[in-house]
Amino acid sequence: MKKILSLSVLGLKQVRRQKLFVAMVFFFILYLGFCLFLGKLSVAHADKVLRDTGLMGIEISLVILSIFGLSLDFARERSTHTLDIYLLHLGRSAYLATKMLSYILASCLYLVISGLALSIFLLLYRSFTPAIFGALYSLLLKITLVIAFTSLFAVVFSSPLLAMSATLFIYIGAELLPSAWEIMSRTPNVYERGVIYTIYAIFPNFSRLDFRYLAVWGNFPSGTQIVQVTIYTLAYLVCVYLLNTIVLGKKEL
Amino acid sequence: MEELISVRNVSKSFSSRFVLKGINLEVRKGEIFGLLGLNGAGKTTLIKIILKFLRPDKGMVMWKDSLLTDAIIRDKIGYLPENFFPPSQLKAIELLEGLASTCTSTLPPSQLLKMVGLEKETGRYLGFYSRGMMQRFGVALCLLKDPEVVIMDEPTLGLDIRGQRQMFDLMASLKDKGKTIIFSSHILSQVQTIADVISIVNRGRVSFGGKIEELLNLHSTKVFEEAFLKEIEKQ
Repeated sequence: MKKILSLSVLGLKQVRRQKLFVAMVFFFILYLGFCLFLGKLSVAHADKVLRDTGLMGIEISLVILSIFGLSLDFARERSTHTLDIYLLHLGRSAYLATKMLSYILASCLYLVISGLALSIFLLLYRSFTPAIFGALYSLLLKITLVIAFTSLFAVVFSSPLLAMSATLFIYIGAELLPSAWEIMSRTPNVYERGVIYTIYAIFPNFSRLDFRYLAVWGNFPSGTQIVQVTIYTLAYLVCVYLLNTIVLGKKEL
Repeated sequence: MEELISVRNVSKSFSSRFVLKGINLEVRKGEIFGLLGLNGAGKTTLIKIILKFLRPDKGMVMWKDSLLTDAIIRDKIGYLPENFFPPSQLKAIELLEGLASTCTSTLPPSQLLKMVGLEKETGRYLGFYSRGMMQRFGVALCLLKDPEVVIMDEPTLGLDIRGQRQMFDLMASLKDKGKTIIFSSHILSQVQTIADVISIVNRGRVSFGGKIEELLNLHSTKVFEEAFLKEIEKQ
């Protein structure tokens, strides 16, 4: 465990120094200007719009950072043979844990930076509510699952483009499936309903993880909700990680 | 000398194309073992099989008298890959110290950097290193866990004459410290000066294994390149 933590901190340093990380921080700062514009357009609900679009911006930039960063990082490590060195020191399962933890730590760092920026922005425009911290926590859980899927697809596919596309598909699917299930749950066709429900159950349940809508209205999630989503995320993470170790264990490098 | 690594009857194919066919070779303790062959002969594949990055279709790799395991590879073998480029966002000392935490016994990172002549570059990002410096840093990474065996895949690839000389001097000093070295190379003149034993891999088979003098005698010549070419064309 000590070696995984130690190398994850090293991985965090590496991610923090990447251009993509810096670019995402700047992107978010510029995006706050766009939020301000949207807030001005919606006179009566400016506070809610500022919170909603601000949190959305953090999510978009974090998804880009984790999907693009991790897929390209894995491909780069393969082509430069740094992967061989890491595998020779760590073994395959520890390497995967290290890689995922590095990006989870980098996401935490990004959440702290962007969360602070958003808080200051909301304070300036009198829209701040401490409930946004609940939303930031749920965002961390979502991103943890996105990172788990990115590392799985980065191992499965040799091409980073395929890995990114597959993860984006999972991310978009997980975001849209609750609505699809809402519609299909009313269909009389049992077979169609069964298929959609199975896919809905297998995909990560992002709609239940997301506390953004609570934060927009200034509400905190309950303690039970927080515990439930944390357990759900950890259980899902372990499943994807185990699947990933099996795939990497069988993969010839 | 004690037999450290032995490759027994190893075969490997990629999508029904044979790359290695029944390879047998032994590496003894303390020797510098040169793996020679033309491009695509299967040298890197063989190294990857020894390191368990690839699975052989047939055959096995032994460590002394037992099967070579992941734990033995992690503890006893250092590896410098072909075309190694370390992560450019890290400093040499950071990567060495990070990886040192994964090893049971390690040499001090600062001592290693001094050994490979990079003691003045510890605070520099690896992305700013020249090709030669990267290769020397790769050697430092190899030696971090104080391994018994060091495997180097084309260690002089992309290096200028001075870089090549430094690399071979480094290998000679490792031998003096009792390390066993397996390396693959194309530069025959330098192989001749440094290797104790060579194996020539040609079209997936070991066509010659032994001392360079034996190869020269076999082909009645004093020129290593000529003997090598005759051996390659023999099949």
